[in-house]
Amino acid sequence: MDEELIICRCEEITKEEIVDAIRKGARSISAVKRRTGAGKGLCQGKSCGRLVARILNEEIGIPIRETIPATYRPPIRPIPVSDLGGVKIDGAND
Amino acid sequence: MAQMTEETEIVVIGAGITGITAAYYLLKEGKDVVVIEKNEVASEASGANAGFACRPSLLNPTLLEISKVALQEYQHLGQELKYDIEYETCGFLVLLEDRDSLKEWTHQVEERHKLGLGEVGILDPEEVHGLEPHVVRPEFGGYYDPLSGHINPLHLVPGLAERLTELGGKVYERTEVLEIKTKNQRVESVITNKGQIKANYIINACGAYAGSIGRMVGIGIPVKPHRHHMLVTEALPPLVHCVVEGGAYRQAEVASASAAGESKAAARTGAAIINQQKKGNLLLGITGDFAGFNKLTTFDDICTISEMAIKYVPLLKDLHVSIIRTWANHYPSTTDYLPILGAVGGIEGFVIATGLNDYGLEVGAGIGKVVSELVCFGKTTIPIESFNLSRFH
Repeated sequence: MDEELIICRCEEITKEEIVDAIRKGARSISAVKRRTGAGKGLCQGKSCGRLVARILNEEIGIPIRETIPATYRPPIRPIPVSDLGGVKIDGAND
Repeated sequence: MAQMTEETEIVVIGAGITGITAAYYLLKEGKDVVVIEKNEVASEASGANAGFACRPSLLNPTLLEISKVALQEYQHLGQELKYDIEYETCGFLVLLEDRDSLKEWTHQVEERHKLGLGEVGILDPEEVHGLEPHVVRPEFGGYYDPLSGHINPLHLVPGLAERLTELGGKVYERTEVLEIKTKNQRVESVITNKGQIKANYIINACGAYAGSIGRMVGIGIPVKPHRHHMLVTEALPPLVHCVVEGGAYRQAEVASASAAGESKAAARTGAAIINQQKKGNLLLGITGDFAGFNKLTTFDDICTISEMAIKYVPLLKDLHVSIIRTWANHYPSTTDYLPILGAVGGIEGFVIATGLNDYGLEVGAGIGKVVSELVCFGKTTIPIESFNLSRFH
């Protein structure tokens, strides 16, 4: 029952798939993300990232606070392409 | 893992597409292989790319021949692995927007036909519109390669790594090379943070990081990290069929800018690249620049790519499509845009396989195959001498 629990709601990835990735060698949230796709949906791992950290802890004992978070890059929330195209600011980020 | 000391025939450094496929073919030849990876399988460019399995745009007969092998191999591998590698020959379409592009690609078609790639051709604007009704109709038609396509690299590379382990190969992740020992101008062993591995051959398949491994044996390998930006949209119903490219994307310009001293502005390139993944997300790209080993994405690049995408697929605006993720990676860039492949004079047993620029997946399995031949038989079915490191000296 627990195994069928959806951990990443956006991409519908179950606990079983996450545990399987860890048993096959995933040792970080990023590695789980690469192998299963958990955290690649609309919310970009905002809730499942924490759940994956907990499963990594349960499975192989990595302390939750030592879990390396996935690389976070913009956008924080989905932004329409049309809001981004054409708003170039000279010198931003350089 | 306890400190190990072990012996093997071949150590492959780097668990990306090149290293993993080379190890896979070596294993199939009955060799003893250990792959070591400082991070995790496919954690660099092989796991952060658009998944295009197209024929390279560069008109180089050897590269195109290797790409042919790679694409054939992906067909086989798709059946051998437990994962769906999502290989699909969806086609590659270059939108021709001016007379010069039409001329350039007409020449490409003629040359490619001579090389036996008879299926590529030029489509007229109506045909392009029929193929991609949601893409702005290009005035001069399009270059079309129906056998190019895409693949899911995150199923392919880790899937192959798993298969390697099943076949008796070893893949050590989170294992970093600290030193390479040589004796009488021959490789002897690799010292890692987890212990020592003795080997007769060492294959440097470290992509943009190959230079640091080269320095351990006293050689310079001129690869530089070239940062590429890409965006991912929310999942959408089918909108785009091919890998679509529009706008000037002149890798040769990157190469010459890099050769001329790689001023960041000069080396910045961009083209609209649009493709739809199996799940429905659109991949939008690409801008490229030299930013060292910085993998963060910039607001400027995100806006440039968004602007290009709307220009070619105006429906993105009308449908209010959102970007959910952005990424950047490091492609191993070389000044002449060609791979660095083969043995090194004076260091027996040291083999380099890097410099796949932005076409790593397009040639990857072919490069792995060629490297395995070189190690097993001392010669390759496709001649690779022109890719040797010695061309830089």
